[in-house]
Amino acid sequence: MSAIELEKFKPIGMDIEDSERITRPSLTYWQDAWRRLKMNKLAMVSLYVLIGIVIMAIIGPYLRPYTFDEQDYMEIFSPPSKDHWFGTDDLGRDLFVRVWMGARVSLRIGFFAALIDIVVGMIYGGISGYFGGRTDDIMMRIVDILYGIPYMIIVILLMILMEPGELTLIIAMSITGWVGTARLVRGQVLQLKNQEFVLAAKTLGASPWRIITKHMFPNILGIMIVQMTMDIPGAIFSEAFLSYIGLGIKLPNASWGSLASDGIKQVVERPWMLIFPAVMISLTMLSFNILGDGLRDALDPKLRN
Amino acid sequence: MGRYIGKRFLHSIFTLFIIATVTFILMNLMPGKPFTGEKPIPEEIRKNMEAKYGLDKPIHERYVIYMKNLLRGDLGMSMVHKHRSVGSIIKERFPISASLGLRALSFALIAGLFLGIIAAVNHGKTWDYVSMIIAVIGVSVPSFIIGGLLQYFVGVKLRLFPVTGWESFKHTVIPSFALGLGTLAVMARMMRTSMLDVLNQDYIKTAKAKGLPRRAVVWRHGIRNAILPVVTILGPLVAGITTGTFVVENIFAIPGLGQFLVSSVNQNDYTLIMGLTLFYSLILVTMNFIVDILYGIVDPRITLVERKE
Amino acid sequence: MKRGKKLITLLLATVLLASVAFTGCSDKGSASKLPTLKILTDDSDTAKRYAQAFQGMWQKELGIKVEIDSTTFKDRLQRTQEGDFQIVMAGWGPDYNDPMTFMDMWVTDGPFNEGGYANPEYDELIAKAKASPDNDERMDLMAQAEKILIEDMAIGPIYFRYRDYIKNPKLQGEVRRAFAPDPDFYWASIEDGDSITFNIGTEPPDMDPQTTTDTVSFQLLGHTFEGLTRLDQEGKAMPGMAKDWEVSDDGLEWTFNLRDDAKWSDGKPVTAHDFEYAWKRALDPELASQYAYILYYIENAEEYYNGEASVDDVGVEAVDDTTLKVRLALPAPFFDTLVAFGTFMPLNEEYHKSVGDKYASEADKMIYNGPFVMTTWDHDSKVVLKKNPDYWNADEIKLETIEGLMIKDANSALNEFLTGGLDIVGVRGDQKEQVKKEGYELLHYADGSSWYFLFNLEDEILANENIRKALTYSINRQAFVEKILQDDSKVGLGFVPPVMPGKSGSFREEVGDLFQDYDIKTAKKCLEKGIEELGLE
Repeated sequence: MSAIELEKFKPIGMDIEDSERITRPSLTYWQDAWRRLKMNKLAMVSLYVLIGIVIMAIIGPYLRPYTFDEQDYMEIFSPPSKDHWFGTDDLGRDLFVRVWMGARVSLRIGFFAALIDIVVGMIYGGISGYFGGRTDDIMMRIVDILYGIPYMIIVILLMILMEPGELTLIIAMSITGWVGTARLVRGQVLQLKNQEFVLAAKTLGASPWRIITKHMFPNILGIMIVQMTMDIPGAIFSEAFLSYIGLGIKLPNASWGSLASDGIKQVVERPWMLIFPAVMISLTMLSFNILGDGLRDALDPKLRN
Repeated sequence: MGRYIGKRFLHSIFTLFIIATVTFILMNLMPGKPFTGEKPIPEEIRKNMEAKYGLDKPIHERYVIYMKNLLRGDLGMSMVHKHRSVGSIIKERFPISASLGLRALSFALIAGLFLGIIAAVNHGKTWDYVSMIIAVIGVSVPSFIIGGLLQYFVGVKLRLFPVTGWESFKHTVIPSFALGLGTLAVMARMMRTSMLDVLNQDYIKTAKAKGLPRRAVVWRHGIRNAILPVVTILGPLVAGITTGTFVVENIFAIPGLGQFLVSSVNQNDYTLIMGLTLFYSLILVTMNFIVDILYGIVDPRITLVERKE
Repeated sequence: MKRGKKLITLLLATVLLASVAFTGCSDKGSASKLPTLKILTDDSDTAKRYAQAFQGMWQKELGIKVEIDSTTFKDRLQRTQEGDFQIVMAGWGPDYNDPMTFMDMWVTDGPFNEGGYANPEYDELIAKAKASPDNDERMDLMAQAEKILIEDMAIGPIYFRYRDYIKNPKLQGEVRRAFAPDPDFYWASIEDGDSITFNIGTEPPDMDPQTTTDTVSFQLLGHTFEGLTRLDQEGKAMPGMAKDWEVSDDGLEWTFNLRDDAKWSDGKPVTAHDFEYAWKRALDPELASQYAYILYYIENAEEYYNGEASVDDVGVEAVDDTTLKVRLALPAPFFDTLVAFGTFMPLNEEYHKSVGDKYASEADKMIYNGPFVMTTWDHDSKVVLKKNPDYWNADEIKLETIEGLMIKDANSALNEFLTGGLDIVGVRGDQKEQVKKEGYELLHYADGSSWYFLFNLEDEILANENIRKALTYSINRQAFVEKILQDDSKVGLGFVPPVMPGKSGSFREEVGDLFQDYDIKTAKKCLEKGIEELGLE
């Protein structure tokens, strides 16, 4: 037991300053998340694709000398050419312009439907989770009822009840859409409310509103952003489905869904009528989903490395 | 536990009652009338028709009558399919939708779990991306596009499977695939997240440290624990997939219940709308109920007792 | 370094900005002083497409802004019937082979006069035509009436529909026509076999002949039932259950002599009593049949339905088992073709009482007297018709089996045909190209319907005749038929379609066009005048 020589050891001393030094660079939660998101190449590509689509939605319709509703009977079902980059449809309208006008409609519907879901879901779930007890019981009972509604029948009923158009679509989709978010938020709030920093704030006399908005929401914001990247494509998808069954936006406006459901009927002879809107839908869905996954990974502190 | 189940049961009844009431009101606000035909009907004839189906009475009276009949389990006669009762339509057609839904679900479950596990085990590596892209493609293309394309290219061009109908196993392949793709993606991603969560747990690290082979870690500790949250979303998914059959049934001319979801509303078939809403609500409520109970049984950390504050 | 947050915020902000910035779509400025009009349409793809085409034409040619108001099919019908619309594209198909099935629609307060047209002169001409037993005189009167109808622009004609279809080249002898059953397989045969499959599209909602109203049910009833007469290949009446019939000189009393070898599928003989029972049943106010009006030519039929006469007053009587006497309220020279219509099919009282409410609910809850019997009714999936060996003319029926599939989607139906699952299928205009490439010969037939703008004459703006004329004249029908419909439909410059008979040939050809297609000059003049009259300057 004497094989270890003493001179192999030497005291390094004790530096108070040194022990307090943070070896990892100081990063806020968001900086760290961004750093990790950046490492996820697929997510970054998705982000750029989405930005590209949004930019095209803004400028696309102005790149061609046609309007979205201008019919030309001499140009019905023209394949893509230098005059009509994406070809024309069954009324001789330019599809390039229509696809980008459709992008505006679809993205708008997706964004606002998701926004309403998140806002309503957060408030509802926050109140229910925070106050608990009787309030929670009643509020969750209402959620249970909404959960039991066959979504599709109600959406179709509402679509028929109201004037066709974008606003109707958004309302019909959000009417039960926020329920999932509310449940999620409630769960998070229930976990958070017994944590020390919340108890401390309570003890110091902070109002419930302040606690919910200042202490709880920042902590669930990450989850909500992820939720939103999933809700947007969901709403775009629902809109496409409704277009397929004949309920949707006001004519002669276009959405990706209405363009694609017109296109699928012509797929054999006029594939361009399907390809462009379908690729746009898929690309957007794909990008939002991958970005959402990337964000989830990036925003999850447990996966920090 | 018994008390909890009893209470949940009462809640479910209450839920169904509220949904029935709301649907009844919404439905009656809807424009159009069930007997409006392609050729206009003289006024007196329409009055006779409406009297026959009790539609001449004010809405609150009709509501009471409907609810009374409902309590006796009578869903009434369809107003469009003159000789069929709503009950018989559901009884005849639902098994086909259910069969289509279950086939789609099994396909989605098997493929989805597989992809999810592959992705999680290879977190951040190529296989993660590959399997996630495969999964996400499924959720990226609307089912009416997938269905239409498959029907034409696989059915008409390659002649591999029949184009429409629901008779033999061959008839079921494309529709089940088209319907299951969306769910596959949900499954795969859920499994990936859940699996990643589990693989980061301390007991997994312990198992690894003990020198257990990687495969055993993944199998014995990983998948078993990760599958639990996935099971809990099966409830809503089963319900979702059965209601989502409309598009696929329409394209492939499958005589299921899904087609009635849209046509009943379009044709103002009031009794059928009510019957379908209640039936699907019942499925949803039951599924949520079962999942909650299962969750309690599977996960001992959750107690099914009323919280007292 | 908050680039991450910034980028995401930026993304969200751009979407938001884009949303706000583009909520108002750019409209081409139009000088029209007319307020925006609304065209009502149902939510089917074709209807929406047509509405957009008209919207585009009116905008381009006249600068009139028209909004598309799309709703469900049922609601469209409902709102049309209630007068809650401005313009709607409507179609009317014939119930029987005479222009009167079109012309008597527009009499003042008529049940089908949805635009609210009222012109005593028109009413008088129609009443005269109805009362006249002389065919030439009737046709002249109806021609005059049609002229007035179009001069007043009560409706704006668009086109007469002709449809395309393709079939298995081995299938021969099928008859396509404007009346049910269409297609009629009575004379059909198929090489190397005796069974065919076709698409009926949907589940027949009601197979009870006296209450049903839809084309699918009438199609199947046309094959499984037979009235006193049936329609031959040309649409004329040929003997059916009646071997012959006589008409009195005033055209009011019809006597049908039934064949004595006609049998129901359960072996009982078909008698005149079965017809009397069925017809009176159709008129029974308790049954509330929607097609009761089609029997109104019979004396006291309408009165009985409205409770103003008793069942015994109705002018139909089975004198004995093989003689049916019918008294009409008005002479109807086409009554022999009218009795081939589904609502006039017989029903055996004894059998009906034995099945009660279940009648016509399943294939085995009916008895048949037609060339085929329904052996399988697989709800929402398919029906199977088999040849009826007891049918009086069974020797002439070549097909053993007719299978009817229920495929709703037109593309799926075409795909099913292409893989050999159907022997005959309808082709939409935009499917033509594909079908030609597959090497099938396109066949055409007139489905007998006339399509037109129905104007709400009680609407403030559309009450103005000149506005209606401007809207009608400015439509380019030739382009619409060629480019939008892409089928063999004919430009409509009158109301009665070419398939309706006239004095000797076609009513339409004898009367000629009533205005000019795509007459922009006149349309613009009318518009100016209309705006002036409405005081919108």
